[in-house]
Parts: sequence; structure tokens; C-alpha cells
Amino acid sequence: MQQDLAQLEERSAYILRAALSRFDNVAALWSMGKDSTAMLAVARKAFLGRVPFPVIHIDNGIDFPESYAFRDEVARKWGLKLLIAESEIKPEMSGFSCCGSNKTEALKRLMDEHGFDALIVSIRRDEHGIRAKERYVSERDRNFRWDYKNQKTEMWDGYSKAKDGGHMRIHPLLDWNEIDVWNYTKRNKVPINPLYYSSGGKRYRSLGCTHCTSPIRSGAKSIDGIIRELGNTRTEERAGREQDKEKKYVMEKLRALGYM
Amino acid sequence: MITKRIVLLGHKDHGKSTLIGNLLIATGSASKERIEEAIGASAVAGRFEPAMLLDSFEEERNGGLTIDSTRAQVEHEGAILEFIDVPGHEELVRNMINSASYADVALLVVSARRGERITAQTKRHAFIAAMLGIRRFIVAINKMDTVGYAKSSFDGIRKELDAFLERVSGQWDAEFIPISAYRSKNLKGRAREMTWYKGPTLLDALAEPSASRAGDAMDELRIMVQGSMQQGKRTLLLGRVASGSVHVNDSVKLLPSGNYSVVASLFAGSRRRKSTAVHGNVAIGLKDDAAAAYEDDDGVVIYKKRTEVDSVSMFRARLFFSAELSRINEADVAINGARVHAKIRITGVIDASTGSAMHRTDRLYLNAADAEIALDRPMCVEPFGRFQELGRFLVYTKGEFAGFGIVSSTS
Repeated sequence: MQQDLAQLEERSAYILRAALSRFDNVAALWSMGKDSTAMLAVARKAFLGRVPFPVIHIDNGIDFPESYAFRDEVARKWGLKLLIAESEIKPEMSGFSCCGSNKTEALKRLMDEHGFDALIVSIRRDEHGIRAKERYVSERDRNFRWDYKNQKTEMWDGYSKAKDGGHMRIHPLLDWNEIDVWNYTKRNKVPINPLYYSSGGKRYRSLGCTHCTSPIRSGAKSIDGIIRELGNTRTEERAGREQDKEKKYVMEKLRALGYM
Repeated sequence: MITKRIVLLGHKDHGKSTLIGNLLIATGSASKERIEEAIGASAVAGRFEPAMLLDSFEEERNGGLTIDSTRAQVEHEGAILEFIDVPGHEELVRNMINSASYADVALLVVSARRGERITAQTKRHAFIAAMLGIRRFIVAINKMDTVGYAKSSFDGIRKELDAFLERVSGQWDAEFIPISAYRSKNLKGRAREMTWYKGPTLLDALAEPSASRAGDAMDELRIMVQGSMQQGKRTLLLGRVASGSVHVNDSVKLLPSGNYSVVASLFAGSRRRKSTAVHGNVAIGLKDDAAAAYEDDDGVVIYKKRTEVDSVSMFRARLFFSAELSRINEADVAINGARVHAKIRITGVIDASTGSAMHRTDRLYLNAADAEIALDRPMCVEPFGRFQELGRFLVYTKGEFAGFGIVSSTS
């Protein structure tokens, strides 16, 4: 469903500004995917042309070559302060263990080192039933666990701070739908990772790393093509993501353990 | 399309999640995967449960209850209707008010089934929504299939709730619609079983343009300052124009300090502007870099110089308690992003399930109370009826959320 972009952008900019003012040390996750890149574009508007917080790439060394090139190009163009959380992938790892513990551990180390108390994550409610349960500002404990049965109240945008050793996840794009991200990207000429465009009859609709993401059949070679294609599909965005399919409640478990 | 937020209210098991589930199906808004997944999850129940489209936690599905709110969107007649499903359980009122605070419309679900009907929780939810300033109520009288679609069942519930809403809400309008959420009656299409009902279907009623919330019918300037940033050597205040408009060179008054200044520069969407055309996020520089003095202040609001509003430290309010308290003398209150310690004197307790005054004053939990609040330092506080955003606050005791308050008067 295509929502009003001005309404969404205002709301997201408001949340980003609230986070920067409420928390002491804020960073953002940047996967070089469409959502976190759109979030950075909103931040540039909210903070007069620059991104005032460092961006973290959790790098397990097996991201797509296109993603690394895109990362370096955008980071240079936008003057981003890029931090790399390096995680090492082992051959026996897949799905749950890879996204669950491996990436999370790398991020944990980096966050401890820098003492971040808030982390901006560009998830959207329409991605997954579990994500629809998220708050704009959501607490994670010292071990990155999400106590989803006991979430903090954030009535009227009254955000709380995390208890000792934990951090808050900030979700500025929570209200957006997949199609909104594309419309926003188009209207604001936000740079886009080329993997989203069709090549050899296939394109990526959702980007993870090379091990767990598979492309969909598509001829969409432009943003307009993607927007048209989304208007006609009834398939879920994350159908190409391994971890969601493996088992019932796997997303719930991953998120409870700190997955982004 | 503008998104309209609709919070589902009502007693547990009166069918809130089932209703949204079937609205998603009726409007073709649920993906094939999501429906298949929900069918799989329904196996426990032995029949397809549309609620499984909403209740995604393992504990929710196995227990057949909603633990925390979720949202789902449908498109109807050129509007996006965003449904906010909330838990109906008493002990989860905290999660319910959290979600209801973001809603434009309240959709109250009441079961017509014998033995269910209007409960204390139904009324409590309606009471809270009215307190939050929601004016538009759609009352879906559900499970009409269990009473043979009888008009008399509908009329009885309607009459009682109408009288209750009249008592607890100053300004409201309500539409009562007989439905069967499980059998998809009167959701999108008209139900042949209830030809006696001549009003709109549920989706049509929800998509109708509705009255704005209480207290946003003014156009005096209010810029809610969120923080600040450096631009070169100058400090800019970051904020949101919530009401009125502002121009470069305007004389302004900053509260709570009460200082005057002049707008030197103005930015919106990272571009320099001469004035603001619409409400929204801005950055503001003040003459002689006066903004630097407010860098560390919380809860700053910018008014026009000639405003009659001043900061206050004493005011009257109605409170609602979601924490198990029997008395309260002090608390931290959060207004517009600032937290201030306050002394609280309760002057009367109101039973939220009847709307009547209580003789005992020690039953604060899940009830409301009228109180006098004395802040440790003056803040920007306005009556809720004049300007909502400064007329509402959150209450914390021992660092934990305990409830919320609505400012009734500041004089």
C-alpha cells in the first residue's frame, strides 16, 4: 500500500531527531540495502545535509562485491563515518547460527567498544508478523535479548532509556511499506545498490549476504520497473531469505536473541 | 494516501484479532504466504482462525490471546486504514494505552453473545479512549450470528453504550454497526441476515472522513523543540512546527524560560526558507546565536512574542493509572520530552468502568483520578482542550511507567 511520503518522512525525521536528543551515543546499522540507505537519506534531510551519527556495517566477509563497492561510494559521497563490525563466517554456519549468534556477536563487540546506548535499525512492520509487534524505540538487554512480552511504554513518543548495560533500538522506518521505500528512493534520487536491478532475468528483492539470499525472477531494470512489479505481486518480500522459511517462529527467536 | 490509524478496543475474546484478520482477507490485503502460514498455525484450534494473521508470537497462538499490539493495513475507498490490534486483557492495559495514544479513531468491539456483552473492560477501554482525546468511535457489535442476527440484541447494547459514552466523553460521535467478524458479515459487503440494519458497512464507516481529535483546532504558533545541532559556528534548534507558522525576523518567546528572541534563520527539509508553509520539522537559528543557550534544555517550546501563554508549575489534571498503586503523593511527569519531579494531590477517584466517582480513594489501579499537580520547576503546560501536545503527560513512579495524565486547567 502506497502511503503519503511526506507524512512518512516527517515521522521518521522526528524519530531520528528524538533519538539523537534523548540518547547519549547513537549509531545506525547500514546494510547497504534499500531501507537503511533510505533512512540515511531521511537523516540527511533532518540534519541539514549530513548524517550526524556513525553507521555500522556488520561484515561477515561474504556480502556481495556490488555491496562493498556501493558502500564505499556512498560513504564517500555522503561523508559517512563508517564502522565495520567484522564477523568471521565458518563453513558449518547457516541461517539461524549465522544471522543469530555470529552477526550479533560482532555487533556486540563493536557496540561495547564504542559504548553506544542506541542503535538505529531500519526495519519495517510490513516485513514480517513479528516486526509488526515492534515499537519505535525498543529495549534490548545486555545480551541483546528482546523481552517482547514486557515491552516499554512509549505513549505519545515518550521514550525510555535502556536499563544497565542494555541499549535501545530505534526504528524510524517502522511505519513504511516496501513500496514506500521505492517511491521515496525514486522521488529523492537516493542511491541504490545495483543488486536490486534485474540482471540475467533475476534480481534481489531483499538483501542479506551471499549465503542466505536468493534472487527472484524479474525483468525490472529500473526503479519504475520495480514499483510496477510490486504492484502486481502477492508474494512476500522476504521469500528469498533463508532464515524466515526454515522453521515456525524462527524470526521470533532470532529477534529475541538480538537479530536485526 | 493518508494513513488513518484505528485502534481496536474491547474485552478479551470479543473478537478483535479475528475481526482484523477477516478484514485483511476481505480486502485482499494479506499475502498468500501469510494466509498459508496462518492456516498452518490454526491447526491447534481445529478450524481456521483469522486471528492468527495478527497474533504472531508463539505464546499468543498457543494461548489464543493477544499479548502485545500489532498493526495491519487495508486499503478501502481511497484511504489506508491501519488497524492497531491491542490486548483485551486487564493486566495488559499498559500495552493497550500505548497503542491507543497513536490512534485517530477507536473501533470498539463488543460481543453480542449471551454471557459476554458489555463488560467492565469494554467500558474501561471506551473511557480511556475518550480520555486520550479520541472523538470518533465506531462500535462493532460482534458475534451477531450467535444471537440469530436479532435487532433486539443490537439495540440493547447500543443503548447502554451510547449512554456510557455520553457520560464519559464531552465531544464524540459514534456509529454502531452489527457484524459477525468470524462470518464476515457487514465488514465489506452487506449482510442479508440483517436487512433491518440500514447504516454503512464497517469498512465504509471507517473510511469516512472523521472529525479531528479534540484540541487541534487552533493556529497559534507552537514549535516543539527536540534538540539542537551545530552548523558552522552557530547553534540551530531542531523542532517541529505543531501549530501555526513562522517567518524569518519574527519575534518569538521561548518557554519555559520566558525569554524573547528573533528568528534569524529557518530550515525545512535541509533547505533554507523564509517561512514555513506547513506543519513539520524545522531547524531555527536565533538572533545573536541565542539558540546556544537552549542546547541542554528539555521541553522548550517557541511561541509568538505576543502569546498569552506562560509556563506554569501548578495545574489540575485527570490521571489514569496502569500500575498497581493504592496511593500516590509524588511522581516524575514527562511532558513534551522533559521529565520533571512533581507533587501530586488526589482530589477524587473515578471508576473507569462506570465513569462514576468512587467513595474509596485507594483503588487507583486501572482507574482515573482528578489531581492537583505541583511541578518542581515551571514547564510549558496547556489545557488539553486548547493544545493536546502540551496538555498530556506521562507519569512515572520509581522510574517505571505508571500511567498518563490530561491537563484540565492551568489557572
